[in-house]
Formats: sequence, C-alpha cells, structure tokens
Amino acid sequence: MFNLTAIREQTILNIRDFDGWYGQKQILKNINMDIYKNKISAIIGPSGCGKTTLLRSINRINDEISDYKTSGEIIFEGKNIYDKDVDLTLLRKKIGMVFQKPVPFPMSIYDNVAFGLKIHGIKDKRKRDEIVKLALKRAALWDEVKDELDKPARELSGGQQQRLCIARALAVDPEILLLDEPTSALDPIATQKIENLIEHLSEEYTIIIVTHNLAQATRISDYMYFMYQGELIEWGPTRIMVRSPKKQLTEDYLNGKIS
Amino acid sequence: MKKKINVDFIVSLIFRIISYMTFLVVVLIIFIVIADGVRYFKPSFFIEYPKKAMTQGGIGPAILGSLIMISLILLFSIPLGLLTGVFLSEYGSKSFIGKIIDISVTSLSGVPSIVYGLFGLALFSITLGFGTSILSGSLTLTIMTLPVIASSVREALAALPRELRESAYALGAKKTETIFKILIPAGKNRIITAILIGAGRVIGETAPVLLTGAVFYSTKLPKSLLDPVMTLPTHIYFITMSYGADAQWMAKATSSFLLILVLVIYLIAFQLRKEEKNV
Amino acid sequence: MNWRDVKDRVNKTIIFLFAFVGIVTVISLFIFIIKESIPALTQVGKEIFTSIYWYPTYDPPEFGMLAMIVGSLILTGLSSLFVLPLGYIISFFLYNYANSIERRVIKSTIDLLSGIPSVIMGTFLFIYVSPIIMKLGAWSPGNLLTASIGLTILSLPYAASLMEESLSSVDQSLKESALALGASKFTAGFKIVTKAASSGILNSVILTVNRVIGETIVVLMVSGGAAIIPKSLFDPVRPLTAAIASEMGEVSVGSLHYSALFTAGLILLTISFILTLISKTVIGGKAE
Repeated sequence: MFNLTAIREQTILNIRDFDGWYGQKQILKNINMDIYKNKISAIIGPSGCGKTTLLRSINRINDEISDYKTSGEIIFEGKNIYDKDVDLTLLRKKIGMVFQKPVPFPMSIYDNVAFGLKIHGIKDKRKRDEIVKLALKRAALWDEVKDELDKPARELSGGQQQRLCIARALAVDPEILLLDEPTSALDPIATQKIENLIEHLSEEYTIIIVTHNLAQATRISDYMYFMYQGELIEWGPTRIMVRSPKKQLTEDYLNGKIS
Repeated sequence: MKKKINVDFIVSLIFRIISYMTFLVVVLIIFIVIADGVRYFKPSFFIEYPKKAMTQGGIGPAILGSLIMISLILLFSIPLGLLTGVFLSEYGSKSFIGKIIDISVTSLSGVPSIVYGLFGLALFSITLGFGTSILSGSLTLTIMTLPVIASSVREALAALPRELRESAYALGAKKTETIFKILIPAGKNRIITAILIGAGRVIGETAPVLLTGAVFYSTKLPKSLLDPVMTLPTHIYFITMSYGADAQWMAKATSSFLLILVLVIYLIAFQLRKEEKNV
Repeated sequence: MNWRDVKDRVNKTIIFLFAFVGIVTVISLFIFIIKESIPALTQVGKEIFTSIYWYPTYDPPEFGMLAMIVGSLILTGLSSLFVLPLGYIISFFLYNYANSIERRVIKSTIDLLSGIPSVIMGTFLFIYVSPIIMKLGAWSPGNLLTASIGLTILSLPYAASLMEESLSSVDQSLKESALALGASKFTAGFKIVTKAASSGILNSVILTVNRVIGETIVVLMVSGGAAIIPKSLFDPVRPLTAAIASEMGEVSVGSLHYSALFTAGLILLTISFILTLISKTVIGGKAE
C-alpha cells in the first residue's frame, strides 16, 4: 500500500491500528492510513461501512456519543489526539468540521461566523470584522451576503447555509477541514458551487471528505480511501485507484456491484 | 362496498356531532364567563378596595397581589425550571442521578395541588416560619411550576438537531458554552411558550394559595413578602362561597377579568408555538 | 485550567445543583406529609380507613375517612366514565374524520379549555348550573352530579389531547395498509390504530384519572360537602381534597385534626405517585 508518489508529499495525519466500538459492536477495524497535507482526501464506501465514524473520530466529536470507545492512535502534530492531556477545544479549533445538514446557529450571519472567534477569546472588534470577511470570502459567500450581515442566518438558502457553515469553520483558522457528506442535502447547482469551493480551499487547507457519491469523490479528490464493513480495504491516489484498483472489493464497488 | 361506507358515514356523523357539541359547550362557558362579567368593568373596579361586604368597590388589591405573586414565582421558577430542563436534556437521564431526577420531576407533575398546599404549609409557613405570606405562597407555586417548565424545556432542547450541538463542539465550544449560547437561544420560542403556559396555569391556582398565602380580605396592602395577600382566584373563591347574591356580581366580574388574563397569556403562547412551527 | 474551563465547571455545577432541587423536593414532600400524618396514624389507627364517621370537632372527635375516600373514588369513577369516552371520541374524530379547519379549531379550543382556572369553573357551575340541577331534584346546590360535570370539563383537555397524540404517533402506513385492504376508516382507526396506540391511550387514561382525583377547587365549591356515602347522583359528597382545603383554615397547628388532614394528603400523594410511576413505566415500555 505504500506508494512512491505519496512518499514525496508531506503527511499531516497518521492513523495507526485504530479501532472503534459502539458498545460491544466494532465499527472500525484496525485502520491504518495517512492523510496528506493540502490535498483532498475522500473516504468512500457503502453506507454503514464506518466512514462517517472514522471522520468523526478525527476531531473526537464522536466522544459526545456516550458508549463510543476507541483504541489505537491518530497522530496529529506528532501527538496522539487520544492522549489524556489533549485539549479538546484546541484540537477542534485546528480540525474543523462541516456536517451533512446545514445547521446555522440561531443568530445573524455575522455572529455565526464570529461565534468561534468570540469563544476563543478574540475580543478586538476590528480584527473580528476582518476575519469574518475573509472567512466569508474564502467560503465564496461574501458577495452574496455582504450587505445583510445582520440578517438571521436561517433566512439563507440551503446552499448558502452550507457555505456559511464552511465559513464558520474557516474563521477559527483550522488546518484540517472535515466534511461529512456536505452536499447530500443540496440541489445540483448548490452542490456544484460547494465542490468548486472545496477544490479551491485545498490550496490552503487539508480537506477530508466523506461521501457516498462516487462520482463526486472521483471528481474532486486527490486521494481515495475505500472502506467496507469497518475495514480500510484500499487507499491511494484517486487517479490510480479509479483506473486500476488492486483489490477485487474495490473494483466491485467502483463498478457499482456493491453499494 | 356500500355497507362499509355507511359505517364511516354513521360513525363520523355521531362523532362529529359530539365533538361539535363539546366545542360549543366550551365556547359557551368562555363566552358566558367573560360577557357576564365584563359589564361590571369600569376603571374604579380595577383600582378600588372591595367595599360594603363585597357589594361595591373593586379588586385593586387582588390584582396587585396576583401580580406580585406571579412575578416572584417567575423569578424563582424560570431559572429552576430552565436549568432542570437543561440537565435532563443535556446531562442526562442515562446516569443514575439523572434517572432519579427524571423520575422526581415526573412525579412532581402528578402531585395534586392541594398536597402542594399541605407541603408548603408544613415547610414554608410553619417549619421555616414564613407564616401565611406572599413568600410561602410563591415558593409553593414555584415548586408546582417546576415540572411544567422543566419538561417543556427538556423537550424543546431534545428537539434540536444533533448537528447543532456538534457544530458548536466542532468549533471548540465547551458544553456549557454550547448550551447557553446556542441551544437555549435556538429553543427560545418553545421555552418562552412553556413559561407562558406555566404562568397562565399558576395565576389561576387557588387551593395551595388558600393554605399558604391568601388572606380573605385586607384593608391594607402587603408591606413585605412575609405579609399575606389577596389574589384574584382566592378572591373569587371567597366571594362565591361566603357571600350572598349581592356580592355575586364581583365574583362574575373578577372571574371574567382573570379568564381574559389567562386566555391572553395562552393565546400569546400558542401564537409563538405556531410561529415556531412555521419556521 | 484556563478561564474558560473554570467557567464551564462552574456553570455545570450550577446546573447540577439546580436540577438537584427536584430530588430534594420530592423527598421533603414525602417527609413532611408523612411526618405530619404520624400523630393521626398512631393515635387514631386503622379507624381512619374503616370508619365513616368524620366528626373532627366533636368531643371526643372521630376521624373516620372512609366516606371521604369512597367519595373521592365515586367522584373519580363517575367523572372518568364521562370524560374518558368523550375524550376518546373527540380524539378519534380529530384523528380520523376531521378536516384541517375542524382539527385546528377544535384542538385550539380544547387547548384553551386547559387554561380555564378551576376556581372559575367552580364559580360558573355554582352560579349558572347548580340552579338547574336543583330544579332537576337535587336538594343541595352542591352534589355528585354537578361536581362530576365540573371534573369532566376540567379534565377533558388532558384526555382528548393526550389520546389524540397517541393516535397520531402511530405510523401512518399502518392505517393506510388497513385501508388498502378495504377496511373502513372506522375499522382501521378503531381496531388497528387504537390497538397500536394502546399503551399511549392507557397512559392518557392514567394521567387523566390522576388529574381528576387531585382536583380540589371545583369539588370544594360544588360537591356539597357532606361527608356521607352518596346514594344518588343528587346527593352531596365530600372528597378528600375538599376536606383538606375547607378545614385546614380552621384547625390549630399540631392538633389531631391537623394531622388527620395531612393523612388525607398522604393518601392522595400515594395514589398520585403510584399512578405517575405506572404511567412512566408504560411510556418507558413503549420506547424500548
């Protein structure tokens, strides 16, 4: 699984011997993989394969589910994020996340983006304004909302709400952005916009996206990770994996024989 | 085929008639109570003391008493109910302590109001020495309101999408930051609705106040929270039960006023709930 | 630990402390009601539950509550007999036959009804309804029938809306598949949906009955107040709740009479606690 094109690129996240359980049920089985810096990594696989659980383990948001247990390591900045002394707040600031369903907070557009800044203690109003503007620009939403920043965020369209959620995640200046099926609740045009945005964002951020949409993964990702029944079956550069998968299971999935 | 249509025809006809009649009875009751009392309304009725064995004057002190009581009750029960609801929804009915608190709050919701009255009498009036007073009455009614507000707050928070919590956590927010800055504002309408319904119910509550806080008739206003007070519902009760036909007008007028008050509170609450659904 | 952690801990502690008030209240509720009942329970003994002679102010006083217990049960039984079928019929109509306007209007009217304070209902019955019942043959303005009417109206919102909720919470496809087999709407609703909703309906019944037993002011105003076992609908009756409310104002604190009234409260508290626990386990059973 080691391959030569990858070795020259810098990894940002290393997942080692990682297992995950819900109660007695093992959801993730001995996952070993690397994520490359400033690349788009797509985790694919049939529903129930554990891809979302894996994604939610990377910023430990799954800790909020009471009977979720893990073993193994996820190394970020030279440190296992499951170590006892890890500051969850700081970890989640560095590894942002956007969910399947756009969930604007019950406040104005501006306050949504500024929320993370406020809780992380950025008090200077001028600085906040600047970051909010930049985040909205990066999320390709600025031009649409710049005159109505005080409007309740709920009044935006679904696609705009999702870009607002991306802007909100970007505002706290993460290094990695986790996207959990970010377009599955959106129409094709909004989906197109988000996809363009994701490709654009990878210049500055590392993106990990979970998607059930194989075409989308093929279109936008640099690396692809195929999971099946809790195991990581195969991973590698997307172009190579799509053309010549090494495992039969991967081939079957890519050909639509399993779904 | 034909026979089956007949079953539905007959049943729906009977059930519809019964439902309509019930509806009419309710509307009629509300109408009679309001209309038969409104005709006694005049400015002095809302300000003056009752005079001449309740045959003249007004209900000024009872209005004031009810207002003081309801303000105190809300002051106590909003934080209590809100935080209990937050606990039940966010910290959980899964732990042992959580289960006990859950069962406690549910049990409180079923306790008869007169038993609260006895409890308030024994605890606040006698043991703590507050006597028959505004404070005893308000504390008693606060406990009654706790389950109403707590369970609605819990439902309001539980109905919020999981992603809302997780989005806040994913930005690095702490749990209580998420609760106070995101969840409670997001459930605001439903929480206010719950508080209004709790207030509407408690403002008409009579039995516990009879035992803990009410005075039959007073010629002076309460000076401190340890004084007893006249309230609208106890006033209605005393007039109806203890005075003759000459005083009945005051019972009617007070009932009318109290009912209007409660209905206005309820209508605001329902309006809020409707807006919530439309969003 | 930085400032944010401290604040988080403090807030969490406050939430836990406030939530704890619920437990403390339930425990102290029982402690106080039991504590104040003990003199009557020990000095009067089982006579409380077996004697019908309630003469607390005579010398020597008698503290038999049987007539009042029976009065509470009869009143509750009679009112339930009215309100449960009525509530079911209305909820069934709303669920199965009503169009959207009927549903909205009737539902919100019933919701409003739940806001009418019982003292207003008592006054209404006393002023407008009692005279009619008197003409029908009652010999006192307060009697079993008038009180039952009051209890029925007051508890109707609980019965109707809780039952409607349980019917509506049944999966729509169940009704549709029954209809698709050619069943009438009545059969589908009555035999299929009601059966599927049975635990919810049972729960509504328990909560409504609990409501009726504990209702105080209406029965205080229009049940008549004589502590006898009623033999007809027009006889007066004195349930436990009314006895507590009307006599508490006249007793001296710490007397046997005072304690006996707390015993009446203990009976009510026990009944309501048991009913609530049953209802809670019924709901719990449904969820699992």
